[in-house]
Amino acid sequence: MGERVNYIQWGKEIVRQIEIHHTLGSTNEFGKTRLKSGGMSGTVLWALEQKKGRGRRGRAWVSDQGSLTFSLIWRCPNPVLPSALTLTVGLGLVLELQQLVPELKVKWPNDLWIGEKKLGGILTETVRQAGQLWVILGVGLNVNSTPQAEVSPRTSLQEASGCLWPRLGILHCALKGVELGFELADRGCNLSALFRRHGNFLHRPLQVFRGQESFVARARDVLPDGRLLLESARGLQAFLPDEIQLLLS
Amino acid sequence: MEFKDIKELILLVNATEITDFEMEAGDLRICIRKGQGDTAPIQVSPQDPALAFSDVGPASKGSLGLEAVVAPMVGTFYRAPAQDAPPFVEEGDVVAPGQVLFIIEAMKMMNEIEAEFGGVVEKILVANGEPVEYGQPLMLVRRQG
Repeated sequence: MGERVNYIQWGKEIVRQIEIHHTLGSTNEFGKTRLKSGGMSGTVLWALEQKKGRGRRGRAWVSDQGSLTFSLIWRCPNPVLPSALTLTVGLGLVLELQQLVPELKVKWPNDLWIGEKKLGGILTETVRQAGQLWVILGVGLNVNSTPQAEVSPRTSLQEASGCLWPRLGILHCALKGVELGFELADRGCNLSALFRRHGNFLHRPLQVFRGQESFVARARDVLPDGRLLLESARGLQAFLPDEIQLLLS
Repeated sequence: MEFKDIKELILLVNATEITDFEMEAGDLRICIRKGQGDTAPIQVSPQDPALAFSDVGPASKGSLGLEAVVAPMVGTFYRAPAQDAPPFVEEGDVVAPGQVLFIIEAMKMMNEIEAEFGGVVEKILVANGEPVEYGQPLMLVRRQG
């Protein structure tokens, strides 16, 4: 595990280099270890196979050799991250990957969905190392296979498009999407307009979770700070859920 | 005065416009100062870590010497990295500078919050999985060293 098999130079802005590994446990965990041992900002850790992928709150993210799993480690030059980064990276990925699958949408905050099925997700973590704020941004996408192992029904690019895709090409596309997400967060963007156009969760029944509470609501909009404008039995409120689930028909 | 009373006091002061509060009861003196506004927008990453600590006890000899670790952002408080994992710290634990104390999640970003100084975790004020507001006291740590 952890043996680097190849190395690709990338750009000079956000992503600078890609390390290719045969097998890793969790790319995010590996990323944390790497940055603590002096890893370079802008390094992407791509696992050809990820054995112990993680989702939110330690949930398993199951993947196989048909999946694309990578993490970017990035040092934030400022003490505070752009507040919308976690949202804009999801939007950036969707905007890039829509070139392959036009019906791709984003579920708040940053899951990728096609129709009523999940294609992939992002797990972002922040860590302080030697007084610097670092971001570990993990991405998991089903490319040529559809491992079924969690609550949401899943799909893959292959299932949605009918063709097999080279993972290196999808990685290239995904990294362009990640960089677009950083750019959108940095220069500011109209989240409401982007989610109205590319979201799959507005104006439909949702199960909303925050802490120990859970209730049914409809989201009318995404506010500039990323919160949802929810309509429920409680009335209309700006709300920051931990998670939303689409109530499928 | 018990820790639950101190917790209530902190929450009470935090919920008001009061920025500076002092009281004495016998040989106990408590001083609470709110240095930051509590109406900050959502931040999905920690503010300057120095702001994550609010002095609730003068460091002078004979005082309580407790410092409150406050939420540097709006989000959900987690004591462990995963649902089935043990907590980062328990009450009574000695923590070193840089040690992770808890996570605050906001918009699926998991922010590890570390101890800025060494000390003993005297009290954890918020339950695992609870929503927290910016500036809310989350832990009381007795500074050591």
